[in-house]
Amino acid sequence: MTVPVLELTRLSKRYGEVTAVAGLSLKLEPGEVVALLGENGAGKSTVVNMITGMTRPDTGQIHLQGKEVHLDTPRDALDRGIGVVHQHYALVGNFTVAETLALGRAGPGVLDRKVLHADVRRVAERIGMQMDPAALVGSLDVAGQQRVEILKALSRKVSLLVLDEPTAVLSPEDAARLFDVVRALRADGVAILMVTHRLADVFAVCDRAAVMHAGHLVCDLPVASATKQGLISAMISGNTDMAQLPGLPVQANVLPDRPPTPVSDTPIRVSVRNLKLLRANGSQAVQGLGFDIRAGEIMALAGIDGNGQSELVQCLAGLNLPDDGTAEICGCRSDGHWTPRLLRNAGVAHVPDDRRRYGIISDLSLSANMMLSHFFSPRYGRTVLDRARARDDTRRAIDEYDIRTTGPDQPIGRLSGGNQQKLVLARELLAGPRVILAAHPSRGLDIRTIGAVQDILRRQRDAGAAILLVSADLDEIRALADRVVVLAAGTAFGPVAMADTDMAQIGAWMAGHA
Amino acid sequence: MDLMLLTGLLASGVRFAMPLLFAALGETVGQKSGVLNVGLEGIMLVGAFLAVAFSVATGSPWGGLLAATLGGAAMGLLHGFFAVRLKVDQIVSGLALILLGLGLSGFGYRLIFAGHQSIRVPGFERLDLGPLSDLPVLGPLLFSHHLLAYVGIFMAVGLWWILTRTGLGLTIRAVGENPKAADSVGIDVDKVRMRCAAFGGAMAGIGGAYLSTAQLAGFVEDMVAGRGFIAIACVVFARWNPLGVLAVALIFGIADAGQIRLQPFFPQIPYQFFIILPYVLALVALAGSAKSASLPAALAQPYRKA
Amino acid sequence: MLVLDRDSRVALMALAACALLLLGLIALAGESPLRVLAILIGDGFLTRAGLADALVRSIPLTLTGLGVALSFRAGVFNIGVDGQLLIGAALAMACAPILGPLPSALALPLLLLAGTLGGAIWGGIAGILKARFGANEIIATIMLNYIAIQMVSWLIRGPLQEPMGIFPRSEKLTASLRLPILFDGTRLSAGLIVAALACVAVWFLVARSRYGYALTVTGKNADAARYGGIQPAVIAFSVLCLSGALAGLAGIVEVSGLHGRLQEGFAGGIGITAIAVALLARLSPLWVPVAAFGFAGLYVGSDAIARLTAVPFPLVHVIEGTIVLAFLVLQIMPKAKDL
Repeated sequence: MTVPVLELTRLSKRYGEVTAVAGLSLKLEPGEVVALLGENGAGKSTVVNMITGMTRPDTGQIHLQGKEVHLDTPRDALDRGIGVVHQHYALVGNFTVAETLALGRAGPGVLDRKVLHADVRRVAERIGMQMDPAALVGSLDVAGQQRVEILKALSRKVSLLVLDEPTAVLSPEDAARLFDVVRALRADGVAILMVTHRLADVFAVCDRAAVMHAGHLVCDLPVASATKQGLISAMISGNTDMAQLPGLPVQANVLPDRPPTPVSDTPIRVSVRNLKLLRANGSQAVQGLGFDIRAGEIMALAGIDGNGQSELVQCLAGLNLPDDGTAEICGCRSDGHWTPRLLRNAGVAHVPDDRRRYGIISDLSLSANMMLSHFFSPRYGRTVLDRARARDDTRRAIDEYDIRTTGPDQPIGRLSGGNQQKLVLARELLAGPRVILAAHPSRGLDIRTIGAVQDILRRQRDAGAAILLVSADLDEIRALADRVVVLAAGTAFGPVAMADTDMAQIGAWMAGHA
Repeated sequence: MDLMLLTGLLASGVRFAMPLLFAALGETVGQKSGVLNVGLEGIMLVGAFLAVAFSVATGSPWGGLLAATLGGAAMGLLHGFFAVRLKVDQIVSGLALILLGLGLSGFGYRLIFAGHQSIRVPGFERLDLGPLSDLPVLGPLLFSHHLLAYVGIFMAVGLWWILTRTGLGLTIRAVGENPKAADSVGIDVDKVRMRCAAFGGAMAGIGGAYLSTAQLAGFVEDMVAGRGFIAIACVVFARWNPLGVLAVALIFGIADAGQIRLQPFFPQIPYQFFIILPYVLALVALAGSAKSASLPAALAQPYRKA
Repeated sequence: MLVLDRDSRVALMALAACALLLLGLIALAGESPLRVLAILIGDGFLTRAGLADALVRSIPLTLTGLGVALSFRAGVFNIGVDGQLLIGAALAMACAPILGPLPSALALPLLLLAGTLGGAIWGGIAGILKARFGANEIIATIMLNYIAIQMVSWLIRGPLQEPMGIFPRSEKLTASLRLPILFDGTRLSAGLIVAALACVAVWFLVARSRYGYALTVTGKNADAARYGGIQPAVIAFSVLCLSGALAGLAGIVEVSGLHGRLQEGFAGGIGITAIAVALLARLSPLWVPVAAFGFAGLYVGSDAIARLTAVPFPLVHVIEGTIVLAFLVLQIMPKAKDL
């Protein structure tokens, strides 16, 4: 009998009133790939943090190779052969790949470039990967940076590799390449814990599936005997009797396909012609992009993150100017006056992708955050602020969107991500926008809230708004979009009507294939 | 301008540059690790005072230098304690250092030296390299400075080498660019930053010591006169590169030396207009060099573990 | 019972260490800390003369403290109050000969306006450097301080020097341009009223106006401000002008209400104390006068200490530094209302 690489015994962790993980037990054998599934907030991240030494469990034990260990710091975990690739990569952009691998491993003394480069090649060859040791990490695409993270983990002796949402930002092609790496590691005897919410990953490469719900491990079974519906119901409700529950909350990928509504007679609200946008570092983000969005339709902007979506939305919101070409929204032209203030006054609403950075001011109250987008409209007064009205609007939004809060004066930073997002949506839709730029409006939300957000967007569309929906989630695109345009590696595919294409075609475009 | 004058100008420019160089090199290392210390002015004042007090007490400028270094390191650690460990606003913590430095140095000076205006401070001897120092032009320019000046130039090169070519430099840069990345490979971010803050403080202390015991001979209240801030401007202008810091500090030193030497040539221009030259230069440099890609990405951002 | 986390305990120990340092310094000077404290409080706040003196000193501290609070709210660190104050006073004094013949009711407001304008211009230069070129405002405003000191040094030896041409100082302001004294036998001028009005105006700006909202949003999250259509560069420029304007007003109020003429070092060190004032008031305009009065009393008391004991005056800066550190410690303490 083999000794398990990792054995977790009745691990628990509480944060204040909230129990993040409750009595979780899990075993990983050498060369086993285990999927850890669960909704947002199910406790997956806390488990990862406890295994990687970021947080300490309140109770329970962790055994590595049969021996009990206490992982107080990331260093403890590293020293004991636990490698981790986080969802958000921890890389230094202006380091080379070789320097990245040397960080924390090399002594304080002189660095020998030749030795470092040979080191990178050796590790890469072990799993059949190509990597230029002298490449700057910041110049690599998302998939490349993930490969650097994996190399970083493998450059130490690892017996357990934790992959946190590894496919969230990968194209189908890059995901397939990642799975090859996972298989190579499995053959090498490395145990792999893959934290994910994508069922496709589970069936593609995993041996076992463990599902968490509200801090509890609700099922742990071989993938061969698992069903998609069974795992979904375990994730959503914690119910493991494998039957689909009646009245299951709305979820995108269990909805029947909605027939796209073609519109051709309504006015054009957004018009983009031959648009070129550069990233902050000067590289090309978008090239030769052109599309129109009419009133009453949802245009999906599909693509893997980092392929110019952020730059495009920032440009259309007035935060950046095009480097070439033009954009026109509701009569405002990018070659004329083009500012967030002007566009907002023309009826543009903007749900930003990075909510914490752009969408909210954590320290300020809900009602103060409510005013942010309407600062230049006369809604809250021209010189003196009408705080009472902002409070009223906020109270109404709290009721209408079911925002969990103590009231309009609570600092928004205290709310959960989903409730923050609902306030952002309520604020953006407050004044009846004519154009909505919605960047990943449901990212990071639980399945119930996702359904609500998608309903809201559909209602806005039916009320005559022109909507640009940025998404990397094919299910969401299928559920909402009338037409779709795909951005991949600086080039644009489409737009095409959803009726004239299929998911396989969109997936191929996202991977950069015409 | 004849050759003698030019040589003299450049030689005293080197002398004037040194307090800036030491303070700016220390600040470069601090900022590379993500610690912004706007309180260099206060640390330099304490360094300048301690150097004088302990030079007099021990009879040797080296005793003073040691005291200034330790005092500077202590103040750097104080800043590190607040900015790195307690994670408060680094700018406000730096401002507190200015007040403390102003108070402590003035307090000590009045307590010890009040009424003893003409105290003799044992200063640094110039390095005598024999025939080399007697060379025309090159002698005064290159071979007749205080030993400390050569240490400063050596440190600029050494720090550049450490930051770009060694594992230690890699660690410091990672902590200032992406502390999470450093943490994820087991580097204790706060510890590295604390040490860099202490190093930065020690270097500012040396800069102050140079000012009071090598460039001038004695302590006057508020004698640093903005050099702590010019040193920060040097770091920004040099784009966080120690070799660049050396060049920029020399430019400021020469400008400072030059304004004094230019005054007699233009008696019709009020002397105040010459005094402001280095400050104006700093403003121009700032305006021309802001928004740099070399800015450490995590500068002045405390690191909190997830 | 209040249970403190590790950070808070360490922070409190740091504060205790600072207090010990202060006691140690006093002991080093060979004085009893109790006696020093008694003089500090007694002469600073409890005698009629001390109280009047503290009020006199709190006028410029209030005005400059308000300016600093405004700029810090927007995340703009104006350390250049001293320079803005000097240039404000200098510009007003340059206008004084023109304003002198006018009736006082007209001339005095114009004089104050000139001072305000001068400060705004000096703050605006730093504002342009920051907004247009992205220059760090801390360094820019400090450099402008030193430039301002030299410019005033030149002015009072050159164009603005008194006709006698002996001392480096300007001519005395005519009576019509002096702020009236409020209470006989004190030096307390109508500058106190100017400061009170400024408090109300700045409070309104911060708490009630749209501009105040834009300031707060920019200071808390500049990216979100841009997202909402607010331009952080415009805010930075305008708040440096405003902050400088208040400093310039403080400068001419000092001259017109207290000194009567421009001379070297007439308001040295106000800038850095103004920062301590603003921080202690937690950047809230209504608390600024309270904090300013506290620091003013501290200065009056420290003067008395330096006069009556062997403890040198710069102790006051050590106390100020300790207060700023204490402010930082209080910030990280668990907030009672959050629990």
